[in-house]
Parts: sequence; C-alpha cells; structure tokens
Amino acid sequence: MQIAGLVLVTPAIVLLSMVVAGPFVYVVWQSFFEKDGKGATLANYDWFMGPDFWPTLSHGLVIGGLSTLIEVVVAVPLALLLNERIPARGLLRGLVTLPWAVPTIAVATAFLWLADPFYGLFDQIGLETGVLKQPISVLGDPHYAIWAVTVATAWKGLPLVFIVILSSLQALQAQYLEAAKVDGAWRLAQFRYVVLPHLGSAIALSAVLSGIYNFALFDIAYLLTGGGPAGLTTTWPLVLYNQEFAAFDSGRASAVGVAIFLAGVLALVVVLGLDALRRRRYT
Amino acid sequence: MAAAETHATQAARWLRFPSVRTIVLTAVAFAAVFVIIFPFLWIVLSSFRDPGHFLTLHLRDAVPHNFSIGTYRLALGRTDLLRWIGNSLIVALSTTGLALAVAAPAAFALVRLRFRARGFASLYLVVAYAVPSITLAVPLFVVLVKLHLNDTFIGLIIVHASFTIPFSTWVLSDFYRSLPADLEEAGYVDGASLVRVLRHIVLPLSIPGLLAAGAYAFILSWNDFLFALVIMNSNEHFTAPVGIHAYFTGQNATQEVWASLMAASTLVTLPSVILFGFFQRYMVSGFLAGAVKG
Amino acid sequence: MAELRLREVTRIFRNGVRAVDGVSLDIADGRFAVLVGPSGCGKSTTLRMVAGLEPVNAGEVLIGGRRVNDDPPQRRDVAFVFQNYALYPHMTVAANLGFGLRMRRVPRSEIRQRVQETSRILGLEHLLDRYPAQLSGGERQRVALGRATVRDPAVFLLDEPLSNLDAQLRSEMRVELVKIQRRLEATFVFVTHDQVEAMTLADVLAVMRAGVLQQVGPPEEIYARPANMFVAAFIGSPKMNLISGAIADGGDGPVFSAGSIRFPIPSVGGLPDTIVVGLRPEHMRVDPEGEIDLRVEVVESLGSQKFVYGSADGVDLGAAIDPRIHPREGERLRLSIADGALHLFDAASGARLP
Repeated sequence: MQIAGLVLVTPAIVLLSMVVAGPFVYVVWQSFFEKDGKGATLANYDWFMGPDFWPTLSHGLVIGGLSTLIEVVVAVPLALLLNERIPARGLLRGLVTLPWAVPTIAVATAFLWLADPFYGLFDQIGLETGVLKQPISVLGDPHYAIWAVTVATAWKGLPLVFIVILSSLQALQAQYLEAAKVDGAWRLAQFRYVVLPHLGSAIALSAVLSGIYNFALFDIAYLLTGGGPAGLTTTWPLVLYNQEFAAFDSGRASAVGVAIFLAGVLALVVVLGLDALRRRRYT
Repeated sequence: MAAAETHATQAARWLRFPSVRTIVLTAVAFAAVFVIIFPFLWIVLSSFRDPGHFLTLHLRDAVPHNFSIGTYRLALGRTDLLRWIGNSLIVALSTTGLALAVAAPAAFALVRLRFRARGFASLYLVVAYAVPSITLAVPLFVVLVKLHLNDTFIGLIIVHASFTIPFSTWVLSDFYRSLPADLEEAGYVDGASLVRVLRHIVLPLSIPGLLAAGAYAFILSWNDFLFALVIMNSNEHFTAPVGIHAYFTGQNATQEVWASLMAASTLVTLPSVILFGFFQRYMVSGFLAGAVKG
Repeated sequence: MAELRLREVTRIFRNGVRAVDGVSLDIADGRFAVLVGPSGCGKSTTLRMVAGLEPVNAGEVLIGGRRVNDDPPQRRDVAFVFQNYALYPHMTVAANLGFGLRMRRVPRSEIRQRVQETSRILGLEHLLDRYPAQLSGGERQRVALGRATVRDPAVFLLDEPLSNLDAQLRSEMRVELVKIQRRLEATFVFVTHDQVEAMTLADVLAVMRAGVLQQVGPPEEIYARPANMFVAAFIGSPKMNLISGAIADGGDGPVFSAGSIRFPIPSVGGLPDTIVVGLRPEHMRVDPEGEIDLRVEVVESLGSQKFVYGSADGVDLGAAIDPRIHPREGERLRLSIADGALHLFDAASGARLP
C-alpha cells in the first residue's frame, strides 16, 4: 500500500515540481540578479522604494479590493434570493455562475464593446436618456478607466464567491431561523443575528481568495486597457509583464513576481487568521 | 363527513396559490440574473447584426431585427479563427487527458490508500495551487525557451495540465470519497490485485467524476490567456484567445473588425459554456472542495 | 400564561399527506399537557402549528382566546424548545437568553435582570459568558429552556427536548421541568414519543396516531380506560397483552376463549362473537388455580420487577410477577387475572367496548 500510494501520487508531484515548484525557486533566485549585473544583489527590490511602486500597488488594491467588495455585496443578496423556493432556481444559479466559464478574451470583448464611446450600449443609452451630455470613453478616460476594469474583474469573479456563499447558506439549519422567529426576530433581524454571523467564514474565505486572485490577475487589465490610460490601470501583474517582455529585465520581473506571491500569502494569513480567532470561541 | 370535506377543500385551495412574496422574489431573481449575464448576452446578440451596418450610432438599431450570420462568415473568412480554434482544441483535449491521467490516480491514492507521504502530497497540492500564475509566467517562459519548447503545443499542454492538477485532484478526491469502498474491498477479497481493482472496478465507476474534472480541466485550458500569450508566438500556433487578441490589436477598429470580433468571441466562449452547462452540477461540489481546501 | 385551544386543526403537506387531521384539544391555563405518539404521528407538526412554524391548513389555533392562525411566530408570544436546542452558536449564553427580550425591545436593564434571575433558577449563572459549543448536553438543554423561560410567554412549546440526553440526565431533567412549570404556573405543551415521559409529566395526556387524536385525558384515566387498542398497547410498560378470541355463552354469562385460556367476562349488552381482550402484564399474578397456563419462554429480571414472557397454548402473553419467584424457561406457570383488569375491544374497529 505504501508503494502503491507513492506510485500513484508521483506523476502529480513530478509535474507540479517541474511546472510550479521548480519555476518558483527559479523566480525567487532570478529576482536577485540584475539585467546586466554580475552577482546576486537586492537591486531589483529597490523597485519597492521607487516611484512606480505605490501607484501600481494602489491600482492593484483598488481593482483587487473593490472588485471583491462588489462581488460579496452582490453575491450575498443573490445567494439569499436564489436560496428561496422559486421556480427555475437551479437554472438561475447555473446562469449566475456563467461568467466563470467565459474566457477572459470574451469578457474583454464584451466590456470593450459595451464601453465604446460611440457604438457602445452604455454611452448610447446614456446619451439617449440624457444622463450623458457627450460620449465618455470609459476605458480611455483617466477618471473612469480603473472603475471599468474593476467592474469587469468583479463580473468575472462573482461566481466563485457566489457558490461558496450559497453553499454556506444551504448549510444553515432551518431550526436556527425558526428559533429566531419564535424569539421575535423579523426578517432583517434574522439576517443580522443568525444568517450573517453564520456566513462570516464563507465570506471571509471567498473574499480573500477572490481578492488575491483579482490582485494578481493579468488578463483583464491587459486586455481592456493595456495598463493605460497613462498607466492608470497598471497593476503589478502588468508591471511584471512589461518588465519581462518589453524591458527584457527578467530580474525585475521576478522581483515583482515574488512581491505578488508575498502579498497573496500575507493577505491569506491575515484574513484567515482573523477568522480563526473569531471562531475559536464558539466552534 | 361534510365538515371533513370542507376542511379538505379549504386546505387544497390554500396550497395551490403562490404567495405574492414568491412572485416578487421570482421576478427580482430573474431580473438580477438577467443583468448579470447581460454582458455575455450582448455580444451574442450583437454577433447577429448585419456586418455591413455593424456600427450604428442609434440605440434602436442596436438590437438586430434581421438576424444574420454575416459576422461569423467574416470572422472565419478574414482571420485564422478556425486554425486557432483547432489549436485550442488540441491543447485543451490533451491537457484534459494528461491532467486526468495524473490527477485520478493521485486522488484515489489520497483518499483510499494510507501511505506516509500522504500528508505531504496533500500539502504540496495546496501550496502549488496558492502560487499565482503570473509569478510563474516568467520562469516558465525562460525555461521553455531554454528547452526549445516555447511556441510548441507540448510546452503549453504541460503547463496547462500542471496548473489544473490541484483542482482536478480535489474534484476527484471529493468524488472518490463519495464512492463506497465496498466494491473495491470485495475485489480485494476476491483476490484481485490493486492494479486489477483499479482497472476493472474503480475506473468504470470513476466516469462521472472524470467527466466533471475533465470538463473543468478543459475549460481552464481553453480559457487560458496568459500562458498561451507568453508561450505561443507564431500565428500558426496561437490558441483562440491569443489569436483573437492579436487580430484585434493589430488593426484599426473598423466595422469588419468589430463584427468579426463579436462572432469570434461568441464562438470561443461556446465550448466552455456548453461544457459548463452539462457538468455544472458535479463541478459545483468539486469547486467547493477546492475552495474549502484552499 | 394562557390557555390553548386547538379546533379541528389540520395540516396537509404538499405531497398530499395529512400530517395532522382534525385535532381538537383544550389545554387550560397552567396545565402541563403532553402530546405522545409514535414517530410520524403528527405531534411535532401540531406543536409547530401552535408556534406558527407550520401553516394551519384548516381549523383554528387559539391562544388566550385569540385566534392566531394568521399570526407569524414573532407575534404569538410562544416559546419553543427545540429537540436540538438551536442555541445561537455565535452568542454567549447570556446573549442567547436575552435575545428574545432584545427582539421585543425590552429595556437593557430589565433584560439583564431577567437573564440573571432565569439563570439563577436554572443554575446557569456560572455559564453566562460561555458559548454553546463549550457546554455539555445537559447545560445546553437548560439554556434552551432558559431562553424560553426568560420571555415569560403565554405558552411553552417543547419538542422532545429530553430525547438527546442520556437516561440518567433525562430523569433528572424531567423533575426539573415539572418544578419549573409549577413555579412559573405556565402552560406547557410537551411532545414526546416516550410514553414513560408522557405518563410522568402530564396533567393532560393526548395520544396521537397518524395525525389523528386517539384519546385525551389525565394519564391515570388513559391508563385505566384506554379508548382503543392502539392507546391500550401504547401506554403502559410492558405492553398490554391483546388477545383475540371468541365469546360463547357459558351458562352464568359470557365466556371468553382463546387457545386453552378460558375466563368469564363481564356481561355487557351487545357483544359481538369475536373480540379482543386487553390484559396488562401487571394485572396478573402467579396462582396455582389461575385461568392461564403459561409455558415460560423468556424471563426478564429488573431487580424490583420481574417479567415473564411465554405462550399459553398458542397465545403469546407477558406477565409481571413477584420478583421473589424464580421461574425457569420451559416451566409452566399458572396465572390468574386480577379483578376488573379486563379491557374489551372490538376486533374490527379497535374501539373500546362498551
């Protein structure tokens, strides 16, 4: 049995070592080497002190954080709604999870098309209803671009959060709500004192996973704006890409890659740690 | 007797009538879901516009009255979309095959067999899943170039398969956990070796799980943009997402380009959505297994 | 504190099953009522209808004289103790106790005082800052009870609250429950499938089966004069012996015979030819001149009691005998029937005769 177990598991371990572990070690190692430098230095990490660091970080935080917030704020009422006994709720749940299956290229197309200043539905409706006095280029305008990228990112990430929250909701036993009802709690109170505390862990988990994923997401920012206008939607993944394929500076790109990984680990540890502390008393 | 009858009809009437609350909730639910899937619906709808009059400034022309497939003809004729889709198919199918071939045994071992490295292997999967793809894009690119595997199918397939392994393994683990071990144990008692049990008992029973995990792996490979972008750089080898991107960024945004983009985007989405539709039920529970594990 | 009245209360599930069928019940203020019956008989559903957790498809529920059919649970001023307690896991014991009062906008100081008092009555004072997960089963049950008590509701509804406790704890809690009920002078409606619990706790006992109320009354009466075979067999432990047999005219009056058993039965008018006679094990005793000749098959000794099971020429019987007697398996034992111990039932309908 020992041998069998090892044998069956080995291909997976090998593949992952080749494609994940090995490259990870490599990227960490590479981050210490400058483009035309000799030995190992921390030179690439001075990017952290540079002018680029904070703006790109804030873009990433806005896009990653706000999109996750939107996802949670939409997913919770949606999950409550689709947990009720309404017709076709299975179909509706499936449709809500559709964005996950849509390739990012199509997501980009959809939002580019909707946001086009002249031919896009968004502007056309705005002009027609008088909300807009003149066409605005949502993706080209420095004021709006980052919000547009955020919305598109939230759209793509909604299904994951929705599913985790919905299953947590389904796991909530009816008797707690019944006890609350008998105790005199109306709908809002039931939500506040029974449902929401119960969902706390699910929300924390899905939010942190989605947040990290959205922060480290390359596709949507790249496809929608390419990092523009004027670098206003450039996030760390895009910095990485540019460093490697435009500036050919593998060292710097690697440093950014390591930074992204560390940011993710930090977020995970903090959020899950807090949630574990919260729950420690009553589980 | 008469009293009992009145009670029966009273009760029956009570049950048949949907409450106002249900009606309102249903309406809101449908509206919300419509808003959510709208972006996707919009490109599908737009793909049926007449390509000759594709770009219109008026709202009323936004929704096509006469449905035409002209955009699709344009997309397929003016671009290498067909080839790109073919490439995507090759990569995705191979990825699925490889991923399942690796994940299924691993999942089985993790669930059924007790071996010392089990905890380590489990942890390895979790940690591997936690590393962001973008972080690995650079080293993978460099390594593949060194091995002359860049711009090849094999390179991309190996990368895709590896990335889907943790999640596929969790989906399959979940599946195996729900499979009663009795049948395998009966096989052992009957004198079959592990290999035979795997081949004759476990494998046939695994099919639903394999389908779900396979659908997931296929979708992930099919949808991938980052690695396909980084690894493939010749037009002949582009997968659909990369090809479409290359096409669109290489041109001015004329009517034909937009039109073909709509059609191409719709086409590239279809396989994923269809697969997802079929296997969604099974995938959701696996999704959770993956999310909870992570 | 209020009286509870159920009038022809009916509940039909979506699949057409009549879980509760025309149940009518009056429970006076301050009484301890018990709904008892086998699993699935509708007793919990009935309780939930009183709470407002199940809709009332037909009939009326009146609390304190007021019709509450259309009132949601929040408005009914009832308290419900769940079988699994349903304590809010993320709230302390104190918060759990105070929740109902908080919902009803009772001033904070009053809540604190009432929670203190209730926790004192139930012995929970030292647990107020703990969370449900940190409590034992018995403690959780008391908190569940406390949550109900602190609200001082019109009616207390308890759905098999003792079922999850081990036997020892169960008997202790039984006593506690009665004490609390008497102290509060509250109307209790208690649901259980355990007839021992039912008999010991009830002022008023209601036996249910398949959604239909079989009999209502004080426990002693239900024990002494069961209205039908089902109630007769359900109440009383060990089960009442039910013997089918024929009636023939035996000179001085009707004589019942089944197998080799023969005994006279009281002469009541209009007896059919075949009836079922009910005879409680505790109403037989060993008697060398007894009417019953029992071949012993199994002997159960409980220390203070002894039961023998066997057959008398094809008729299976159980009897409670003097524990000082030691019958052996295979032995023959003669038993006689105590006076007035016979219950007569119609073989077809199961109803009591007369």
